Amino acid sequence: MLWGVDVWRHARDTVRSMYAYIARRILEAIPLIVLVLVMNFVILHVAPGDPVFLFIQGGGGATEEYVAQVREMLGLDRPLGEQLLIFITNVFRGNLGFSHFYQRPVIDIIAERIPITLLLVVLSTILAATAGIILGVFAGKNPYSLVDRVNTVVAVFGYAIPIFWFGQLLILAFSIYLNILPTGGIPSRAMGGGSFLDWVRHLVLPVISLGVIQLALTARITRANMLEILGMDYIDSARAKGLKENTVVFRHALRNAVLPVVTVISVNFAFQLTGAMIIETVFSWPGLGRMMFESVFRRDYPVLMGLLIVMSVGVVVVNLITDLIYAYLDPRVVYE
Amino acid sequence: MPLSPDRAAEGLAEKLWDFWRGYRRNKGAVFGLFFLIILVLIAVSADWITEFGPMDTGIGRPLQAPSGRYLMGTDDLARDIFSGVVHGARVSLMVGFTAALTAALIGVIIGSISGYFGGMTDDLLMKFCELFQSMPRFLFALVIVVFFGNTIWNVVVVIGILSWPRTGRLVRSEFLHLRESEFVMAAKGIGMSSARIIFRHILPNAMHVVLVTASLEVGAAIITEAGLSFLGAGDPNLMSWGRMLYNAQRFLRTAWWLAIFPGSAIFLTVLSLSLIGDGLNDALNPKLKRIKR
Repeated sequence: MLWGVDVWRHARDTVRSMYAYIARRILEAIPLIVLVLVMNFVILHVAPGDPVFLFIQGGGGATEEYVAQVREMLGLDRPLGEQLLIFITNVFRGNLGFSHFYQRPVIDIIAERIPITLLLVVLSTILAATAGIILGVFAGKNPYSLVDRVNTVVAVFGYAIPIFWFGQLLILAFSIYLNILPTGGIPSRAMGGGSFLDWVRHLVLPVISLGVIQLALTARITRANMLEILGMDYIDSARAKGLKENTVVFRHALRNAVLPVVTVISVNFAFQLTGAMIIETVFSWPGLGRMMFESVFRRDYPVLMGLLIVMSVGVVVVNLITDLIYAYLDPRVVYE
Repeated sequence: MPLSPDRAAEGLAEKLWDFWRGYRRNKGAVFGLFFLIILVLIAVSADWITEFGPMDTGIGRPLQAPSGRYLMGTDDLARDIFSGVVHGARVSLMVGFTAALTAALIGVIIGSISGYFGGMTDDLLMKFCELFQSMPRFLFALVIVVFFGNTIWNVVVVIGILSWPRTGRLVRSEFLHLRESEFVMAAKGIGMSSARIIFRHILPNAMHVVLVTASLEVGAAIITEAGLSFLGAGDPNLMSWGRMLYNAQRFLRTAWWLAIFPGSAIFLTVLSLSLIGDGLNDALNPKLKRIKR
């Protein structure tokens, strides 16, 4: 039996080990970030041509003095090891280089557009995961039923359809044929838009096309978990207690079936992020993806490299956060 | 069970027939295989099927709707869409299969070493795998292709190198399980080398995992290539499905056929590959077999 002091001790130990766990996970993430940066550095240096010209874009009009100046500024005349150190230090200081096209530091251009892209990613992830869980629960509850077959179709569809083509189809159907939704862009104040409804109208199609893979994944995982959990002993005992079927399914089984979805979202985050970048091109959404698309077109290397760095570090950080959330939600995780 | 080479050759026809009996049970998989075979035939005979080259401009009026002469219409430069779709099959199949093969090779090597030896090697390789899995792979591919030049070979190599983790993980877990089995113990007992045990004894038993995953990776690689081309980072000298969709984007309002045909081609191809993957799993997975028979 636990007395007051024991309860307190137990709580203290739990909190302590939780902090230790958080600290350990953060420490584990750091080498991962450094490794990602090293890979970026390697790409930059293994790519054909003098890296200095990547930074001054073609460098056709650049004078020799300017080239020398940039080379010195970036430390490209130093030994490779030192260059790597300079590269990593610069990234940690938020210095990702300068875009000659935008005439601004890369980090500023990226930071400005992150919220616009995240809006798309977060909305579609949440909505698709919710829909996927609902679909998965009903499919798992009634295997081989109509809902289950719908689930199978969604899974196959989500795997095989290129999301950018799905986006184009949605535009063809809803914006051009039915003419009920805008073909793309975000609401503009100047055009008298910007109301909540206007935002919703602009978000519907991109969010759906981006969410289709997440929906398929979540539904499949939830269904599989549901099937497994509904065969477990504790479910039998809940039923034997005479609980209503709905209580058994939605209170007892669902909780445990949904937990792995957190992991799926985390693992899939990088994919959603890059998916958003393609979808933005389809729907003229002025976020990171559009900038990426234009930078590919212009061969704006500093912007592309900066994007890659921000994205890869961002993914590591998001995965870390979801791991911590998972540990918080799932009492079975041992903070060893 | 592991087969010695001579016995394998002896029973090959029988094994193939056995495989087909398991495979044909899955109707979707049979459809997928049928579609893929047709597609390969189309890709091989592309030049004979089409009247115009995929890059030939001005073969008629621009942006013509599908008709008897231009089966899938023409684009803004008056290129034949049908020819583009047919020739695009070459690019997609080539990229898909070569990239998947590369990914399978890397995945098998890393997965088997990781699963067979375990311990520190396993930890390290799995961390490496995790890194590859969690990074924004499409963006990596895009940056590499842009930096190294957008040739079809760069596209293939990049996709192959970035897609091994799924195979790697699955092979590893098969190895973790198989290395404890009696035939491996016996092989170790008579002093067989690790390489021989891995490649001659364990790997053949894990091959079904590799094949099923590879068929999915082919589809994934096709979509990735289409995505790269869609963003204008594909090979400019080849007509690919993704590139056609990139072109279609500007004319959605006026010319639906620019988007519908190449997109359907990607969708049906990847769908077939996924169905084939299911069929392979039904036919090759020994666990499923025992339940069914």
